[in-house]
Amino acid sequence: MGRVSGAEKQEFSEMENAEFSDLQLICHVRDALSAVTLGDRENYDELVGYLHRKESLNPDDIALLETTLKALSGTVSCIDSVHHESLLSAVYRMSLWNYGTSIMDALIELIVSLAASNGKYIDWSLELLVNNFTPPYHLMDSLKQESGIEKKNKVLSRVHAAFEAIAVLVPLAPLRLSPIVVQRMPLIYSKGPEILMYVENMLKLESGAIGEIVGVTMLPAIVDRLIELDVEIGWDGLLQEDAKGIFEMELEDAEFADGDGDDNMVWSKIFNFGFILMLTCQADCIQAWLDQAVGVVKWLCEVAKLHMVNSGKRPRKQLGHRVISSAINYNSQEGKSLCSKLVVDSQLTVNFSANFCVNCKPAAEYLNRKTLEGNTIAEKLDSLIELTFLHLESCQSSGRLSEVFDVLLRSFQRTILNAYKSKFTQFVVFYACALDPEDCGVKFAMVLTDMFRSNFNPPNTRMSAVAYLASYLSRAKFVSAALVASILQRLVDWCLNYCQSHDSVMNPRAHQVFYSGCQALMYMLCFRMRSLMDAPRLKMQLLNMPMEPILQHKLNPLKVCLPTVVVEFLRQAKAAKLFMTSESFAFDDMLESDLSRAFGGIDRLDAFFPFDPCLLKKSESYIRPHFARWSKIKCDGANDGDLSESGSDASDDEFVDMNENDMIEDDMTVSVQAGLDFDPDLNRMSITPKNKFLLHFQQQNARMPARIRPSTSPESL
Amino acid sequence: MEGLKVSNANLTVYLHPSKSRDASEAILRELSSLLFTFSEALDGVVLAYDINSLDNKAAKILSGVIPYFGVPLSVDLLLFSPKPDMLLEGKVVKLSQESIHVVVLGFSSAIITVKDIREEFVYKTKHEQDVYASKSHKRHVIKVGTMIRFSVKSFDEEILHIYGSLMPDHTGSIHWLEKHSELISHTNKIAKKRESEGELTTVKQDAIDGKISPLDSVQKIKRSKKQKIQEES
Repeated sequence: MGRVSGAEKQEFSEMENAEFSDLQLICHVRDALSAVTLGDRENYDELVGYLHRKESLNPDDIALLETTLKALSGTVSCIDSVHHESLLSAVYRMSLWNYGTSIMDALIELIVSLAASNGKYIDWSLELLVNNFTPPYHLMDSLKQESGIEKKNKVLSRVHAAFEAIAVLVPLAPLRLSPIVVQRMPLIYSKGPEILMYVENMLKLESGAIGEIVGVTMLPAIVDRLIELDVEIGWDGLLQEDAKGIFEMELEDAEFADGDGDDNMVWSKIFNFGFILMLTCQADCIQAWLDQAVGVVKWLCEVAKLHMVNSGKRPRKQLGHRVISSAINYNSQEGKSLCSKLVVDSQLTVNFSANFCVNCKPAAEYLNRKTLEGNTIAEKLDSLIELTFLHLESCQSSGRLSEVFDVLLRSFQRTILNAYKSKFTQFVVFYACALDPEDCGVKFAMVLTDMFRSNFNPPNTRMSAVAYLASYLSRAKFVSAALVASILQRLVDWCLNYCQSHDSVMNPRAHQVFYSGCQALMYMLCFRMRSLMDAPRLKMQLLNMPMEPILQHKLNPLKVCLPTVVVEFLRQAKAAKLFMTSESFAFDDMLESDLSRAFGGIDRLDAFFPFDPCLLKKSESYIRPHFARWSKIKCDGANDGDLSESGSDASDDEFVDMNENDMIEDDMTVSVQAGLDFDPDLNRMSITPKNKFLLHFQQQNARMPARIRPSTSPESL
Repeated sequence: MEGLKVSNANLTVYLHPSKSRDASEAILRELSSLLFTFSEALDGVVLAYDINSLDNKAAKILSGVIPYFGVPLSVDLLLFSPKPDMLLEGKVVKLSQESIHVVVLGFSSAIITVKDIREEFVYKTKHEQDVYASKSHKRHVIKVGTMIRFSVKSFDEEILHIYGSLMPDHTGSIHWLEKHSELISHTNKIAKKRESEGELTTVKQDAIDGKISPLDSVQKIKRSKKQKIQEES
């Protein structure tokens, strides 16, 4: 090689001359590559040097890089994985996000050519493209701005187009893509935006041109990740083990006499009130809210002091702990501020701790990440579920919802159904059914019914399936009464059949499937009796259903099923005049019993109502129009308040322990438990209006002529 | 086209006990997992299978922690095993100055680099289309969408990628070759072609009969072992 680098550099920078034709460039690169095998690395190292430049802002560097990449695309067959390892690793480290469109195009061309040229590079190319799903860390924040969004669209459209180009040249490439994408999914402890972006790409793959092959693995992988996030969240939004660690407890249990049951009731009410005050007080900014919240805390302290003075007893420490920890976890932004205020304002701390015998540790020790992590996981889950909802909507508008639903349903049967008390992931299926009630909605109900009736399935699966069925049919507004009636008929027939073939006494464990079926029947009727009775044909069908023999059988389901369900069912049945034998209600003297908790087994599947109101803010707003709430169903007589929430492990959930006169409806309960603010002022987490704004902006940008945008790329020259 | 053969194999498919309720579906699923993968025991990429008969012998249950049971089958398999110097046919999907990209049978990608394309073909851009045109025969043109016949240089079994060559004389656009085969005036060339064709047909015949190798029994054992390993993994 006679020519030395100096002359070439000059030639490279004189792009306008066009003396250097493409062919000559390619020859030069080819010679440089083959020279490496003979030991001459000079030109080759220079080439690799061009690729390493990241901060190439001036047009010359950009042109150089682009030319290099294009020349390399023309010589891929000469690239050897052993001799040219530094070249390949330099290309691997290049991220599309760092460059302008011309270099992006050149790089993509190189990747596609490499993939098609040699089988060894297919996995390498696919991995490189998958690496570009998320931007480098320093660019993550810029994504929130309009320029960031534009960049994202440019990069992702090219990445997905590259997948399709590779699929045309190498038909088996999509098969190899699925495992790569699934393996590289970010873990649940990664940052929220990273996970979101990656899942967005997965969904794009699912609906893209190669979606037929790749899509079958994408959705189940996403659902698996949702479940993983779901199980990290404790029942009331706290990470179970960290919930009690915020304030260190003093071991003063022995001091309290056991006889303050009444006091606890009173304190319960006081705290309910104070807590509701805190969460729903109107405030335009955190500071104002904080002032009010601190005011509430001070008031509580005063009351406690008074109580101590009057009764000589301090309120139980759990109550004090509940206020603050709940505030922190349900309303993260405000709660955190309150906690820090308490920590900082020593007088307030002293008062608080003195009155509630809680020992507040100083400073940031309790504002540690792990404690508050429970809430960030909930946020991540919320955003991911929202993303999935949007994807389902787009599937529906493009007419693919049916196939996507089949994949989703299979994934549901394999993972969600048997996941121990999955809390929110099942709403993905709920929403899909809501979007297409006639097809998907009916399919879901039928599949669940068949799973329950088939005795090939293990008992836990059957019990779980019928719990899902009952909760789904009760809560789905879009399900027709006729469907409910037909499913009820099938359940009743199965139960009757079971009764007739099992002539044995009440045994919660042995007949758990039967009891779960009966409870499902009763639960569904609690919600749906009214609508069924309103339609004459369905009313006849309901009255003809042989429910009495089932309920009066030796197996005695009324004693075993959950008391709240049974009581409510009987109340409604009496009002609707079912089971009227000789003008007296057949079940007038049914007593509750302790056996009711026994049939659920270790998973407490007896108290499992999967489609209880969703506690995640963003997702709930999508579900709300299709979701039937309990409070709206008025029966004659007092409103018994929440039926379903009490189904959870009610032992330590004090906010739910209410007596009949509380009249706290579903809406309120949800807002108390999840800090769901129906007040838009406090709803800073809302993303919907922002999205619309950004979309609008994007559309505007798309119409801007290219000349106005300052461009440093060679094509504008 | 060479490289395709149908062979009959006696396989044993090992099924997990949970599948015993619906064994036939499980068997189909196991066989489907073989598709589009290269099998050393069968010496080829399995493209299709057809179950001849489920031998009515009973399935033997293996002893072990999980008692798999082995169902003996007799299956017809369509195998694709390109060997060097075989002639294959495929559709051109991309042309560049450096290479021609071909897709064979819709699933296998093949690449013919410029150094394996004979001097006769020259890269041109005609009517805004990239083509490889023959210098000696004006109408012999290869462009995107043309079906071409090429010879195999090597075959990457893992990714099912073929490295091809257009060096031999009787390679190129199939359409043109079929139409102008008689124009190849040189008697030697015709004689050679006839000879090679004769060989091809005998090979094909043997393949269809399924009695190629006398090592059938050894292959059977190899296959069963391979199945067992596949099932257990």
